[in-house]
Amino acid sequence: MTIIKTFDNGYVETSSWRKRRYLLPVGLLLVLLMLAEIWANNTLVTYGEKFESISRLRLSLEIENQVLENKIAKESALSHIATESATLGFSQVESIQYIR
Amino acid sequence: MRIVIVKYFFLLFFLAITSRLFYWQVVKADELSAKAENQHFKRVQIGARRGNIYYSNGSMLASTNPVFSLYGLPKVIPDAEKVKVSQDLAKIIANEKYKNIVEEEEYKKALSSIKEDFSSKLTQDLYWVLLRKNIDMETKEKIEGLKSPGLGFESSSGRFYPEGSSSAHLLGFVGFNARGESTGYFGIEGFYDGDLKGIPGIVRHEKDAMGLPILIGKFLTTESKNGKDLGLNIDQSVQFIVERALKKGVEKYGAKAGSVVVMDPKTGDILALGAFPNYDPLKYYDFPKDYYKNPIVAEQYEPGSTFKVLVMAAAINEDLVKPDTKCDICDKAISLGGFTIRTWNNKYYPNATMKEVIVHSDNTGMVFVAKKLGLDKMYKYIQDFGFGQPTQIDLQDETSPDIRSKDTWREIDLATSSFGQGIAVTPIQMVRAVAAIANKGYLMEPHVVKEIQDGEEKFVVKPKIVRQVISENAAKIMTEIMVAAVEEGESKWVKPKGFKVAGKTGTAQIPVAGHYDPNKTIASFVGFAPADDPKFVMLVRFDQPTSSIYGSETAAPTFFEIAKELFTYFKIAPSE
Repeated sequence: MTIIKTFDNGYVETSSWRKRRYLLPVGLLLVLLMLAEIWANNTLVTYGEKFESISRLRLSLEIENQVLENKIAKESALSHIATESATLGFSQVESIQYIR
Repeated sequence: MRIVIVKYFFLLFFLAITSRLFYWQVVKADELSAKAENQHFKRVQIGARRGNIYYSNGSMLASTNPVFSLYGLPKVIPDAEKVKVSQDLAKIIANEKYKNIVEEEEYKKALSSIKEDFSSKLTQDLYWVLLRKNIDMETKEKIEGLKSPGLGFESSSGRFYPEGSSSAHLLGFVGFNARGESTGYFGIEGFYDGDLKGIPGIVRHEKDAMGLPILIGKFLTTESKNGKDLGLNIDQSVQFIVERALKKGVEKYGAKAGSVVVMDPKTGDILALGAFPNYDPLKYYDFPKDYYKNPIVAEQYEPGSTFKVLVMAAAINEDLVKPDTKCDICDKAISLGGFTIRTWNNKYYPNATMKEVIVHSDNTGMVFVAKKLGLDKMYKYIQDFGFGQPTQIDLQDETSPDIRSKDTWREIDLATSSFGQGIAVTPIQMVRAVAAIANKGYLMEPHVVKEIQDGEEKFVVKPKIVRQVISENAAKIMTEIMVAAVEEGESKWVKPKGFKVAGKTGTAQIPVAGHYDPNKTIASFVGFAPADDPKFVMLVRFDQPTSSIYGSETAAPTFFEIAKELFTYFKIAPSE
């Protein structure tokens, strides 16, 4: 005698519903992520100009800093200070008295 | 039949298309990918900043200055406006360069010439022309203020020296090599070029039709590495004092050239180094090439009487003479090998002591010392004091004159070398050798650079003892003799009161075409102070002074003038 297992419809329906229950949010998440990526790509693809302008601003600030540093160095050069102090009436010390 | 023909026709057509596709997508794939990459990608080089150079107190000696190249786009500037644009540009450039510097007539001439130059360039049938190089920030802003279309700037960097032409021989300059790359030549810029220049970086990114970067595309970056910064042993104030006094001395004594080097005898640190005539390192191309060489490390000369202190120190170290040893051949000129050796003033001191030999700068006394030493010991001490070999100072153009092989020396050579003739040295070799006397007999390696800064890391150059040449006792005795040479010698009139200075004058005739010219000399003075605890050793040298040929009347006064200021600067009080 061959025993054939009866096909239990209720059992199958329950297990496939469990699988669909997990698939739905995952699928939704994937779709949301895809939409987010498309949005990000679309937005970022035109940001090249902003990036370039920030780079240019950074370069110009670096140049400005360097120019100002050099200006300070030139003003504090001893040859410049000697010329300026002579113009202001300062003169070299001729003799020094040592006090014991 | 017709269907078969059509079938074969379609098959042939299909094969033709397939083979063509194969050709473009497989055979030509690499070539087309490369072309596409060129169109899609932009490659930008990120420059590396050349390292800065600082004095010992942190003040700037050399840095980088942003400079710009002005270019024009002749096809963008309307023809009617080209004359006005040329005029406006010429005015700005001429004002920067010539206004209030030259006479009005010359200024107008220069203005007209610059305008013509711009005009001719802007009327050329080109898309892009270079109008002017090396424009500074201020001038760039003025040109931008014109708001002229068709003008633009390319940025690059040049060198900046806040002290101008001061320290030119010390620094060297930055020029261009055969490949057009910035390269340092001579001095520190040359010696440390590899450390200073840095490594440029690259940014490679995908670009859109406007040439702007696509941020979500490929972005490959190799960071640039800025050059290393150098901190020197050079003292800003000492350098200024030295250069001012040297320039004054060259003019006062009518010398062809002059040089001064100041060193810390205990460490070998070079505190100052100056030479005239000098040049502007930013405009080195406007000066003769002879000026680029640093005479202190690259020029040889016969040291004359300054060499006597070393020979005497050697003899004292060998215990062959003492300060009170009497010279029994000093009563008259000496005949040797067909030559006659006289004193510089034809005065003779019978039975002169060794101290008196140095005080009077007696050549016959030095022949006595040389005979005592003998050739072997004399030659050994010449080498031990560092002559005949480079000092290894960290400046690019150092040379060292050879000392002739001992086998070729005759009796007259031994005699003349004892008073510094017939032997060639460089100033840095001379000052280093005398520094050994000041440093208890220890010969030091001279150094200009104190530290090398690479980002967060710092590498400090430590003092290096080369060897001990003479004993501490011999150095002490020799110092006393050199103090006596200053107190009682020809330069006693200019010595500063209250300070113990050890030194020696030198007046060496210059060999010209196989004989010595009596009217052309190298006048020098070498010494250290304070004698008991030396803070500095200095060599002053004038090449062919015309007001007086003697070191005691030219180099010595300059030495003491500098020394007086150094005593104040180093807060050294008089000891007497």
